[in-house]
Amino acid sequence: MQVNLRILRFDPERDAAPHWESYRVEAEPMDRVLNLLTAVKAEQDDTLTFRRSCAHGICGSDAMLINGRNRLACKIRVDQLGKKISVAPLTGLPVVKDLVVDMDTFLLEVPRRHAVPDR
Amino acid sequence: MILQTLYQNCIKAGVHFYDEYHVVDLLFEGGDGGDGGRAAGVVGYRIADGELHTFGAKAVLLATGGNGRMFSITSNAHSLTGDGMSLVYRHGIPLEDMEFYQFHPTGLYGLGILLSEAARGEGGTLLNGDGERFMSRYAPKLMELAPRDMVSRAIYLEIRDGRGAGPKKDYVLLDVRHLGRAVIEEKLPDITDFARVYLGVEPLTEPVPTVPTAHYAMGGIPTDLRTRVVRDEANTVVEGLFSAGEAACVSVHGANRLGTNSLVDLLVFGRRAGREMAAYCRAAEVPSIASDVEEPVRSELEALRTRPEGESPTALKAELATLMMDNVGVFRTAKMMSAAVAGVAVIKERYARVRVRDTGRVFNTDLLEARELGYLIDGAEAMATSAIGRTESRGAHSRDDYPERDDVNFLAHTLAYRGEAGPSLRYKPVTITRFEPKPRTY
Repeated sequence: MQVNLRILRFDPERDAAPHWESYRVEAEPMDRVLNLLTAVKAEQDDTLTFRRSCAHGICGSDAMLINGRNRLACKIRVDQLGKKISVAPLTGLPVVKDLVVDMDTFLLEVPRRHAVPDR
Repeated sequence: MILQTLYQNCIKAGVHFYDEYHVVDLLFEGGDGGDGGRAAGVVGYRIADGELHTFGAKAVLLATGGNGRMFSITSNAHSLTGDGMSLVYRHGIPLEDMEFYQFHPTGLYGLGILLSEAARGEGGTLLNGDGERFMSRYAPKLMELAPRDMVSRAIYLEIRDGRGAGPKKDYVLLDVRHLGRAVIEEKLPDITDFARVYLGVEPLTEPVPTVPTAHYAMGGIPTDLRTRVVRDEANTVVEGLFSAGEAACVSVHGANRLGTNSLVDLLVFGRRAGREMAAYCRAAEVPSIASDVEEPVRSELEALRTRPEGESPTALKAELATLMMDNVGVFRTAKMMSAAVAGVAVIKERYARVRVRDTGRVFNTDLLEARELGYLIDGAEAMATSAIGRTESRGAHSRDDYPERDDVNFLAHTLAYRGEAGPSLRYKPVTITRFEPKPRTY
């Protein structure tokens, strides 16, 4: 089936501001959004940039705003979203490039919020 | 659990993490790593802006993990491309026992996502397309709980011989239905979640399509029991260089790893490495590093980034993964392994001409993935050559032309050295202390 994929793109070396781009992707119902992004990167635009690692819902690398909710791209399936899918970077953090956000503030919070108690 | 605890304790101890600085070269002083030099640091590529950073260090630990991404069906994360293994290999240090690679029997069909052994531990069974518990013909006493390589080979042979399940008869079935809802939901929650989310299969009422999945490298960077990297048959130490975890080959697993024993790599040798390095650093001098040490890797990365025309590294990587899965996988023949050696050599040659289409400096994952492909190719050539060189079957390395173990000629660890005309192999004797090798019968 054909999926209409809209991605909020931003290249800091070229763009003044983020802009939506549309891609048509051939997809199976059980494909996950990560599969679609990988297909776009491989077949349509190598500059599409996103983090991913475990690809099965454990590491959190591919957290993104998908159809209006923050989710893991490797877990959410096409059949759960429908033929119109929009992907934007995770809300609340500065955007580095395309779907990659700056994690520094998040990582600085870890010591403050998860302090290991002294024995 | 271990990861979180370790990370939080590191933060508490004031460890500084250089997040998303990708190691792209190793530095040595007084000669190359394979030539008597001592470790002097690393070069890191800062992913955020493409800048190179030189880190001078008295001691360097490589805990860069395995290289399952060399195979098309793998449990491994995308980041597991054997970076540390490749970097030592490029500096004249051999890779040990690369032919011994573990294929876990139960990966999700088509994806390779791991379905834990716990499913079989709790009583889950494996069925072929005829609904038969085929393990009775391969390991009648242990059945589905036979060692992973035996189960993987059994699955491979069932599929090869036309008894696979499904429309294309290209998988087997992991059946946990008889375990009941309570056991499935409480003891196997991950497996259940994976089957439902990724295949749309409900394990309570349907068996789950499974295939062997590339899982763990028994081989890797050779070390002694003190986690110090060694570079030959005499276990000559490369001063200041350490390795632990899946990237290292102590060897604790020999030709085959038992389930859960990867924890030995982490907990025992990770800890040992830390202690050895701390002791080493107290006595060692700070190394001196020339100001242009980044230049070799800078040129390599620039060449990748600015080449005007060439093949797509993504397509080349997919070819490598299929080649390795088909020819240096669960079941090996001389013909398949030869095809792999030749095929990897051709891919390596084409790799010299790949072109990266993202030419930016900010967060260039296109460039990074192309770089990682180079690491995968190094691992693949070491593996294919080591495999064909070992004319016997032992543990995870099983070949139909030499089905028996040959302790006279091959009770030895393989050392694969990088070379212009392909890897050259040397062998190091196995240390036998308490346990004598015996035939594996189940």
